[in-house]
Amino acid sequence: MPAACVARACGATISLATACLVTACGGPPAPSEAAQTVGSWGATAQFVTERWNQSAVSRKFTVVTLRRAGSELEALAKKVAQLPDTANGRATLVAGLREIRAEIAALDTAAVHDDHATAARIAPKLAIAAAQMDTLGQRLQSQQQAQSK
Amino acid sequence: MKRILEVALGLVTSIGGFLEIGSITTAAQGGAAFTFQLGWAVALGTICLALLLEMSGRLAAISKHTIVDAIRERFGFPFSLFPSVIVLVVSFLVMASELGGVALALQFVTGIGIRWWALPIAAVAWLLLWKGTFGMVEQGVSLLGLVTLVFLVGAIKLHPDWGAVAHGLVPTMPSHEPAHYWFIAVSILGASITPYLFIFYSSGAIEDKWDSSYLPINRITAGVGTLFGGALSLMVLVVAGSVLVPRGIQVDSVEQVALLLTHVLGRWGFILVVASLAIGPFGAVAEIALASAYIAAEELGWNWSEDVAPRDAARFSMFYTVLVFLSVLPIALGLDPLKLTMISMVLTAASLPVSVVPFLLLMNDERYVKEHKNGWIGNTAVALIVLMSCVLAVVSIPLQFMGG
Amino acid sequence: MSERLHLIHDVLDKMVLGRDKHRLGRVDNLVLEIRPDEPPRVVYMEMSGAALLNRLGRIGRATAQWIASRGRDTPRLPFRVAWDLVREIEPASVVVDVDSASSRTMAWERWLATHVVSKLGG
Repeated sequence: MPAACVARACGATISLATACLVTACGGPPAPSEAAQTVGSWGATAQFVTERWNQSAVSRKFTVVTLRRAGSELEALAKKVAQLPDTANGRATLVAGLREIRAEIAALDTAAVHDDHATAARIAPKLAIAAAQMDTLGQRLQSQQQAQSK
Repeated sequence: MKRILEVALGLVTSIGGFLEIGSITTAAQGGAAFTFQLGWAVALGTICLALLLEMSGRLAAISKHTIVDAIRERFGFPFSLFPSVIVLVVSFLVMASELGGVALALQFVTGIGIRWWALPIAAVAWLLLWKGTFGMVEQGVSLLGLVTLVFLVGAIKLHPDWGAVAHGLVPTMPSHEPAHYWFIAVSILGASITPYLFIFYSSGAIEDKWDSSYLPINRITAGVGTLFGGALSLMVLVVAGSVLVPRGIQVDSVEQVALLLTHVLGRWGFILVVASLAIGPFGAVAEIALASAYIAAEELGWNWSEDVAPRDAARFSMFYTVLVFLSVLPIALGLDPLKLTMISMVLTAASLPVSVVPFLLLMNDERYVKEHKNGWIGNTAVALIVLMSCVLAVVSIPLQFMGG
Repeated sequence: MSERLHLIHDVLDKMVLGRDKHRLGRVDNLVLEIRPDEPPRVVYMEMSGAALLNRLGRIGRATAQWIASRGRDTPRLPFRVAWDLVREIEPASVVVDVDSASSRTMAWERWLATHVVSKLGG
């Protein structure tokens, strides 16, 4: 019966979809993807700090966002550590990740203590580090695409 | 005069009630990852939803049946049980993600973690349903949801390349990360075409005692109102593309969405976006709980109405009560609201044929809609979009998670 | 010529309304009597979870039997409305000469209303 076939097909689709989503990777991400994610969180931390210094967002929100960035990068660092030593760009990625995590931790402390001056000093360095990670990610992605062709 | 007011209210409700956590975050993700290239997914999802809403209103007005009622009657219990259960399960996940969205907005303002907010939000939503009427649930929160017009204001002030925005309304192949592109396209479609919306709409038409004289109002509310609401969703994508792409920021959390309008609108940009993240999803929590109770009651033949006292529809009222408080669990147990949102949107897209195909058959059955059957354009458009959503969901999910 | 009634299309799964036009439930099953030397005739409409489960195949029937026999020597019968209590078959519903307020099919509704909903201020 067509209706039963549609129902069974959809049931299979949904089961497959759920299985894939539930088992969604515990494994390490590709270095290009990881670099862009690190750059993204670094840029987010810089953006929220810049907005906080201009009184566009509250200190509470700034702390929430910086802590979120910190915890996401901590989780990412564990996955990046699983990358093989010979992975393209690994060393630069690990160094950049360490630097950005340190800057975000310092920003978090500054935000907690309402220290705008320290935050204003750290934010530009973070912007540069984040941009470098983003560039690394795009370069690695281009290399990956060129290799796959 | 009364009808003009009804049209106006219906339009306002469609616009103010359109954006919720799914449509906001998926559009923002699309904009941040691919600038304006995924505008077509927003447009396609909106058009499909407008068609489905108009059909559900027409079915209710002419046949005096809701969608679930008509599916049970026309196809029998063993068949109708399947789409009802699927829609209930998927809607529950969506409701939990909406609750998470409200909790996040409150966390942004107070600093208090989302796990602490889950239960109070559920309690307030329950109180609205317990003590309120259908009109209050549908229109009250939607009127507050007009705050989401801030995305339109922000988009205009950002002076994007409107030519590129228009170009994005035409489907194109992605320039990079194809698996991610199609995954976000699917989630945008799933966020737009959520079954609870047209089930809620048809039940609401019965609550409001629509007849054939309401068909023009239905066309305007469902058609024009939804298109305006979809335009707001497009503005979220435009804003994200304009603000986040130059900064190299992806949307991996709702915090990044809250920053979208802080540069161009300052403090008010933050306040109004956070308000949007709270009000829209809150309305969705109440609507989904009510829609789920409608599904159960109509499927099983219980008394149902949001316009009577809870004791006069006891099983119906207890169903949404239990559901609202159960939806606290995923957030209270620490599931990430954004990840939950993405999962529920993609599962929605994958499950669309189950709810839409029987509905389309009803819309072509003269015994229900008499001379107001679907035209071939409506049938073809809905069938193609739904089929495409399902196929994309099946293909893109494995690609996304297996690094394709 | 008498009007024809299509049991599956016109009756099964339809909403049932009591004499006060309040919802009683749905026609979850139809029971026909097989008589020797006479055509079968409809005797009851069943309205209950057990009747629904019986339509879901082997597992549904087994579940219905298990629920019906829990704590009883003889299994509890599903709620039935005699066919001769049917007053009207409308396009969207079947109206029966039953008082919905006291009907057994509304037992859970009444219990919830009295013991739970009222206590929550509903």
